[in-house]
Amino acid sequence: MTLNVAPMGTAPATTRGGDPGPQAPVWSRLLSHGVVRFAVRSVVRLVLVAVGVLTLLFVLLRIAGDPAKALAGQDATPADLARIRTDLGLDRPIMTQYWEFVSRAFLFDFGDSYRLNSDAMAEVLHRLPATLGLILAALALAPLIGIPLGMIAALARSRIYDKLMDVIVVGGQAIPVFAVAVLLVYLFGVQLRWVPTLATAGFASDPRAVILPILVLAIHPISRILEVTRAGLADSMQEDFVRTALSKGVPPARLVTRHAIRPVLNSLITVLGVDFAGMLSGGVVVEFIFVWPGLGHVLISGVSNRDYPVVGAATFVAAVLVVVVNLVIDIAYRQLDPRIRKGR
Amino acid sequence: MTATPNAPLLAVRDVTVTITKGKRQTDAVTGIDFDVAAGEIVAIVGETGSGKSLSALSVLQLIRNPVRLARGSVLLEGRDLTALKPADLRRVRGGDIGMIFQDPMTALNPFHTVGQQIGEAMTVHRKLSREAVRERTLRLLGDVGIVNPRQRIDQYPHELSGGTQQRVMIAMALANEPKVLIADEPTTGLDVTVQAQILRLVREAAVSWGMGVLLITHDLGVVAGYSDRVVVMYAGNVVESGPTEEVLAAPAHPYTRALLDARPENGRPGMKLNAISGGPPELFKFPGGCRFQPRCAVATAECGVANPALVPAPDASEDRLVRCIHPFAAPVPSDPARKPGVSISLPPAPAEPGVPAIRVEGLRRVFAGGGHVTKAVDGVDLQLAFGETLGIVGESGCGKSTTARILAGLDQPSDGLIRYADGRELTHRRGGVDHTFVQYVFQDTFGSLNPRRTVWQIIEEPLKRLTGLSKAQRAKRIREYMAECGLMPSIESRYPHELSGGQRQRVGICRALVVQPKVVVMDEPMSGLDLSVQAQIINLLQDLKKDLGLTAVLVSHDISVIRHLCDRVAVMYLGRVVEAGPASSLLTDPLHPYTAALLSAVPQLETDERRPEIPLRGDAGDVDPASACGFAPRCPIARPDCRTDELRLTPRRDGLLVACHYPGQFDQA
Amino acid sequence: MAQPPQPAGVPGPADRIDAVAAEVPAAAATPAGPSVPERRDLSRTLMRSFLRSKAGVLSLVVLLGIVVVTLLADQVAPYDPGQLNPAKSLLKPVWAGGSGEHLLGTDELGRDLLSRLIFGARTALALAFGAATISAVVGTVLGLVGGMNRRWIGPVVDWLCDVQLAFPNIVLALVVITSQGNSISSLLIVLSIFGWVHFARVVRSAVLTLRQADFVLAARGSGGSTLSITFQHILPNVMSSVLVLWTFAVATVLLLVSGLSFLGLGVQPPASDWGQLFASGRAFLIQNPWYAFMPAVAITVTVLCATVLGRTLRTTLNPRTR
Repeated sequence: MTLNVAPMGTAPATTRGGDPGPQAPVWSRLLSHGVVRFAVRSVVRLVLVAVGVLTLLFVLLRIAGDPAKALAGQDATPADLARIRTDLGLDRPIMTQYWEFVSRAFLFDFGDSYRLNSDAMAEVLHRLPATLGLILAALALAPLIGIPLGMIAALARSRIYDKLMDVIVVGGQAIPVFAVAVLLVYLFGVQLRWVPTLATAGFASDPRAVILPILVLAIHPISRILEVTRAGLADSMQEDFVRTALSKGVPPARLVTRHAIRPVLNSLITVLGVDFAGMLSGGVVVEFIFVWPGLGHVLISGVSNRDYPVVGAATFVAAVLVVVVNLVIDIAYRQLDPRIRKGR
Repeated sequence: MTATPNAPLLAVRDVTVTITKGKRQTDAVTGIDFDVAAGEIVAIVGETGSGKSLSALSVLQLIRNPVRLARGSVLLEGRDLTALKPADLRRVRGGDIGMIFQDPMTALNPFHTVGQQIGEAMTVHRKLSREAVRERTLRLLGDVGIVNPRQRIDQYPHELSGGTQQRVMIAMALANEPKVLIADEPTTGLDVTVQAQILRLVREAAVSWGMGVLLITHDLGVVAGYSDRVVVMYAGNVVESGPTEEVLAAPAHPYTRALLDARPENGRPGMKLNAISGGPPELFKFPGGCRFQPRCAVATAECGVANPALVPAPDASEDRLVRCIHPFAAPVPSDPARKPGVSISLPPAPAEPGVPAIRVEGLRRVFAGGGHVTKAVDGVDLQLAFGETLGIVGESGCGKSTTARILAGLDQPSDGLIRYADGRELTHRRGGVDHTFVQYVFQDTFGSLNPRRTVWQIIEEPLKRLTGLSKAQRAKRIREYMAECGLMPSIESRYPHELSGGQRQRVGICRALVVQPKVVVMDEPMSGLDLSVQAQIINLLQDLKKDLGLTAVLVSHDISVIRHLCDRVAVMYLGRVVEAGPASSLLTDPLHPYTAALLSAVPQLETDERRPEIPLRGDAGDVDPASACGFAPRCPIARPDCRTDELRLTPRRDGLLVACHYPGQFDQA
Repeated sequence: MAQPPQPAGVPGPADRIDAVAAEVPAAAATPAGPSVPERRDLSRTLMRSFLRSKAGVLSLVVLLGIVVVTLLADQVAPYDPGQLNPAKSLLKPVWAGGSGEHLLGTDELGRDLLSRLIFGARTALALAFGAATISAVVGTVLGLVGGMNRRWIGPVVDWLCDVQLAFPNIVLALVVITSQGNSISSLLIVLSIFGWVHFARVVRSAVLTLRQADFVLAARGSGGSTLSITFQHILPNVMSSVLVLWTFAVATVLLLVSGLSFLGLGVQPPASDWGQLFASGRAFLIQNPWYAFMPAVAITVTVLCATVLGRTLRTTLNPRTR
């Protein structure tokens, strides 16, 4: 806003990090350094978000819900309930419970599962690799399909192709995941019998059984990546610096790969980050349909059984994953853009 | 076409560029012809929409959808570039013809280092080892006047100042020793001192390498100072071309004549300028016949019949061409007297004359963020007397706009005191400004008007909030002031995007004046407007000064505008006032070396007015926070004590206040 | 929804032409110039621009059609959706050899599928529109307040957004359902929770840009208070984004509620919606694939129309692409 204060590139009367006089303490000079500032801010943010997530979980699972009732079942006597309450420590002051919940959760301790009587977090972590594998496979597949399709759309200027891509972009985001999954299973599993309909053993099942879950999960990211690549590349082809490259005599292929695609990468990374959370959601549905032994599966059975510790643990793990992935994306974003990395 | 003695290096023939928008199509550039000879600088000059940039881009066929080269040829040493195969055209781009663009910040790739970008310009054209590329790049960077190439080569564009960025662009364009250099508004947006350096560099390159240069600009001063021949464009047509000195001395086309007359330098301070009426025509609405005829002072009925051809001008040297059926027509003296202004019931006369309208003491404004602290304003003292217009001049980053905003109460100082004549005071603790006492006019005509409000709503807002006027009184006042500001009642219900740039600025001025403030602070109200429109706004301000007895602060980087409108001037550098005093003496005979350098960098039309150039050292980004005098790192006459000895504004001759230990000694530099 | 900041671009040649064209509409109308062109109304320009998009108009018509049919369900539906007729179970639709009595066929209990679809739309659409609207209001208010007050409300809103976005949406829905059960009202709350974040973030970043705009500063210089500036200058300028987001939110919520119902955790019988209908049809894919296919098509078409409508609005309301 303050026009004229800092014209592009010049930094009039600018001193870095306040007054770096001799009396400035070491920590303040350290803090003002770009990377350190970024790291400190990221860690603080991560912890704050984790606290927020746990608070919400505590409110939902301990205050709003009644674990005792869930544990005791429908026909428990008041005496039973009271006993369970004491066992779970539900009769203690709310702040004590909150403190205990949060501090234990930071150590990944959500208590024992009501149904299995084993550690809830162990159960969740045991299932995690299957889910992560599924998501990473889809996440790897999506750019392989989406980026080339989008690049062609941005560069070819073909009306028909563009309309076709419109259909993929809008359709891919409008069709419900569960419907696609069920119809594909019906077509390829039931009618054509090319693939098994279920993948109950996860990656250990028939290799052909793994294809459909990955594909279904990749549909939404494909359409998003396609859209972002197409729009981003079309925009960046109009950038002044691309015109400069053209005026230098840079050939078309190099023009795209060296110059035009760079700004699009940032948008793509952001999309992947946002989609990661979306794929955890989609994963729940896909795992349900293909009976995939992953996080979503645990979660759904936890919900139907009102198994609070399992639901809490699964949710916390999912949230931590999302936060960590977003942190990785922030770092990648920084590294890819010299304007941020070597900040003004 | 007249034959130039030796075959032209670059010849543009009948180039026509069409633009398609939906189902409409129009020729944005219509059959232009011009030549560039080796070692010669040819300037194309024109206003917004004249097609000058499109002409430049079409030489290398850099125009893109929905713009298209419809016909014509571009001959480089007799070879038609429009008929080349893509691969051959690529060899010409950056090989035989180099190009530099406006706004180097966006024209350079933000993701690659300076070295990578210049290196690429070489490696796409020939095979070179990595070491050879780097070594050559370093030499090029040195050649274009970059001080420390070894450090700069590995930096990214955003780490450089605007001037350095443009030097990098030039180095890139010159990497393969091209025969022709095309410079598309290379200095628009740069400060005058930097502009002078960049253009001098281009001129030196042209002379020493025997390179032909095509220089696109909107600034007649640049044309006069740096070109050998000039092509004047208007609404997609070449209206006149010829040797620069002859054209500027005796323009054949009424448009060229009018442009020259509209320059603020042309008028004497306090007099009105001969503004051209109206604005340049809309792209899809070129008038029939001669395209300039609706705005032309000498147009006759004949002019509306057909667009005249570009023919040799009568009674002139043989390579002068003009597109007019009344060449050299004497302009009808435009009527300087305006229709009698609407009688505005003025508020009572300003307070007792002794009290300054605004007094500023030790004003400071510091911006902190992202680990940086920027001292935008660093101890400014100012006084503004009732009835006078105070100009604040300086280059970008000097803090003039921040000062203006604080004066108008739109920002708070970090330190210091502002005392208004109505008894209020503004400090970093209290925002005590009465907005009916001081009002503000913005630079950005688009951004300062809410896109979702009509002209009427925009002008009415301050009246509604700041005065107790009834609806009918407000309506009366708005009508009066709209008329005073030259706004027709028919635009009352329009939205800002439906107005021209000039109209938007009139609305901005009208909004500021409608509450009848005692003081108006204007931040670059003319920048971003075409020369012909700028003259209209200058005339408006002149009228308002007379009609309303305005007390005003005018912030501008354009010294000619300041000279034309201001009684007193303050020159700012790095957040401080380095020199202040009466406009007449300060702008003719300054004492501070910075003021002198600034004045010498302004391109002048008349050769006798040109001052000997005072080159500054280093770059605009050179800042030494420890130095007592902020200008010392760049000052041509700085001595060691300049950096250590306390400095304050001291009265010197002619009522000038100067902050310099060695005032007026720059001739010895 | 976090779009990365595009590198500041100055218009290329094509844009420059646009700028020229946009710059000049009334250039000729400076006082001494020729007569002023007729006044054009902003809303009429927008309307004309919208009508130019065939896809957008079609989507709007289809959406309105679906809404009208849903509102008039009692009059339009041929049967009572709960009316059992075991003798006529799993009839195929009329084009696949079914009877004319049941245009889209029947379910496993012989209930008319067309009627079930129409009544199922009620629940689905009521939830979608309701939740989208609630999240729009909540998100816009929070974004507005968070954007205007950067001292402490802003960071708190940012933090809430971060926390919210850490939960994959179905996962959070499942937690709420675990604790609150799946009554329609708790579903409405669940669904509203997801949307607000997107509104809040978009509004907040728009406000952050707008509050730096010169016209806001000008309003301050005209004596405007923070409150009046917020409502008169900032809010009107974010409303078009809110409208676009709202259209997208309807689509998203519809997908989500269908997904939950499909998992058996959303709308519970006797109430029904498309997701639940699809889930029950899934068991009879082999006998009558149309049973599952119909609700899937209904969901897709509705979501598609809302998405296309949102996209058209976005292009229409954006002055750069108008």
